[in-house]
Amino acid sequence: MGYGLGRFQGRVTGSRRVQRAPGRLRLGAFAIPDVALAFAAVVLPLGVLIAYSFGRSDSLTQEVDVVGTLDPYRTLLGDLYRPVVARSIGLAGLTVAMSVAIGTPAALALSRLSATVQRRLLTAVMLPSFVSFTVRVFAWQGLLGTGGPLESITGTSWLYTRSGVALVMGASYLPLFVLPAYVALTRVPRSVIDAGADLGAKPWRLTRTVTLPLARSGLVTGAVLVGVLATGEFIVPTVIGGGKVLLIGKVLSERGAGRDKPLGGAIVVLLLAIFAVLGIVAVLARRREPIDG
Amino acid sequence: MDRRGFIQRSALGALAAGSLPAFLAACGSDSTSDSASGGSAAPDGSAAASSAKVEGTLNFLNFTGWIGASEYANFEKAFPGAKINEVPWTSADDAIAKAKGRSGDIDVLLVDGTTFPSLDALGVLAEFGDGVPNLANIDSAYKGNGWDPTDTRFAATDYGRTGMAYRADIVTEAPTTLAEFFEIAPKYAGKVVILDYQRSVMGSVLRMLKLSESTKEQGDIDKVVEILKGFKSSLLAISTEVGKQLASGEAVLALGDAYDIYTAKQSNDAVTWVDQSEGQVAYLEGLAILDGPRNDLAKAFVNFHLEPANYADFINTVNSAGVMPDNKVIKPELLTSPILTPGKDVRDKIVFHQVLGDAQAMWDTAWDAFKAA
Repeated sequence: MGYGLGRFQGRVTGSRRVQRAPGRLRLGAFAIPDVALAFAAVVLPLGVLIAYSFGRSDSLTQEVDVVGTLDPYRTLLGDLYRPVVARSIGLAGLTVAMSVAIGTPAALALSRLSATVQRRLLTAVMLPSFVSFTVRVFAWQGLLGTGGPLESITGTSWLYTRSGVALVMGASYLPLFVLPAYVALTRVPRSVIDAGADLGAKPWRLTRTVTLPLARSGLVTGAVLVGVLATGEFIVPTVIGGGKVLLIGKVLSERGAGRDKPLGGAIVVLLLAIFAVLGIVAVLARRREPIDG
Repeated sequence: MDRRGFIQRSALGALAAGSLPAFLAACGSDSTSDSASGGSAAPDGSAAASSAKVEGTLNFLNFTGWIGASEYANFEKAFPGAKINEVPWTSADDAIAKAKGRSGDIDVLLVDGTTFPSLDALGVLAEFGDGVPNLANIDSAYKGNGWDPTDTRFAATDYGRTGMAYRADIVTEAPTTLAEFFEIAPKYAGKVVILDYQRSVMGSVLRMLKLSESTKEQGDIDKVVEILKGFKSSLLAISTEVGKQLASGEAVLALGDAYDIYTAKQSNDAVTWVDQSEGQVAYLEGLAILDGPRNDLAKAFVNFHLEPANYADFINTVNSAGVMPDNKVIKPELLTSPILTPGKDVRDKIVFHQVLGDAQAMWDTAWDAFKAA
């Protein structure tokens, strides 16, 4: 008996509740594997990590005994790692700012080109994403280092400098902002923009007061995406920054993921809290959107 | 590229895509050479293992590329029905996790004195028994280590000491002690690199201070951090590519691993190695077998690796300091290089890394404090 027959039986009874319940139940059954997979792959490991954050690790076997201690949080929020967390958030904020500053006009320009040019440029924007992130970061070493093209232009090597780290962070995460921003901008109804123009609004005012507010959800989504990933970043500071600047992602990868899982769990909880705040910002931005694009 | 750079890249690659290490591994295993095939096809030690069950696929947790160019192919030739699957090593913690959960079904892994005790505590190690007669080829200087005093589960394969290096064409002072190294570093600020490995760097400073290289005393560690923090402003990078940076001229003064500096010297003769007179710290690596269904195959592989021709293939490929100084199949330039094969006066002052136990967290915090400063 299929889903359709269930609906038919419902109609025969004439009861709204009876009419929908069997179909919903059967439809819901299809979701069980997905829910089970999500639970096994996301919720369960996350739960284990959170439990670890209240534990102690055996120095030799690395086994974690969950004893309900808050020591990992004390360590994370202590004098050593608090500035590291702040620095990580600061760098993520800078990356978001660069992505928004460069990506918004780029996405705006992209959305106003002909369909053929849009496709080509979009492919060009996304193409680097097909190469491993790590490989791309190592490729930047050649561009920034001694004898590289950037040195020949600016007269100084950018490798192992904070400026180099900021540059590569911005460049690496830019496509992640451009794509959702572009999608949101292309969905802004042309008729609304035309109406604004008919009413005498100049292009800059149209963009500022009509186009960008209508595309806000995509812009915020892009910014949140960049912010979330940049907060845990450690490859760029290691490879481009020369390992001199410690970030929380590095502590997580070197210490938290292995011999000090309780500290790793605490870092995960902290990052989740940050991401939750960013997620709420994104949801609020969607709710405040004046017109559903 | 130095080996730890290789490791780092493999680890980062695995995180990012997982494809790079596999690609590098494939590059390593695809290369063929006739250099060792004759001698290794029927090694002495393999006779002992040949009667046992030497077939199936052996999972070998190893640094990518840290193997003789022809070794896997020769092993598979010598033992038809046997295959080697190299699993990229990403970190000691990962190795312990894999051993504990048997994830990846690892049979043999490369370990050192800091990792072995964890595997021992987990009770996952298998004894060699009489399955690895080629253990006899290892020089006695690398046997009877604290973590396996009876040599029943650890077969030393290579070691690497941490020393100083500089560009003789740029650095006018020739440091002979680590104290002098720190003294002249400010003069070359922005051109100084050190290895991104706490045991090597902190251990070297501890030796300079005449303290135990594996100290568990907070006071000792505090002294080390103070010295390192004071020196940080001179640094170009805390690096995994020390040799490369020296050879290119990006750096002129460095604290690095011998094999890495040896490779750098091949591309730039101005790169000069110095064994600091205070004494050095070093890792001693070797093979261990995880107890499991393919123990016979694992023993055959370890034994094969220690057969002189195959061992020479390994050392000749990776340019490391070895544990068979009398092995005449190893390239003479490696055996006579003071960087890779130091004299007795230097060897006597080498201390191998030992496990830190509960003090590991203290070391981690100290290393992070230095990096965060």
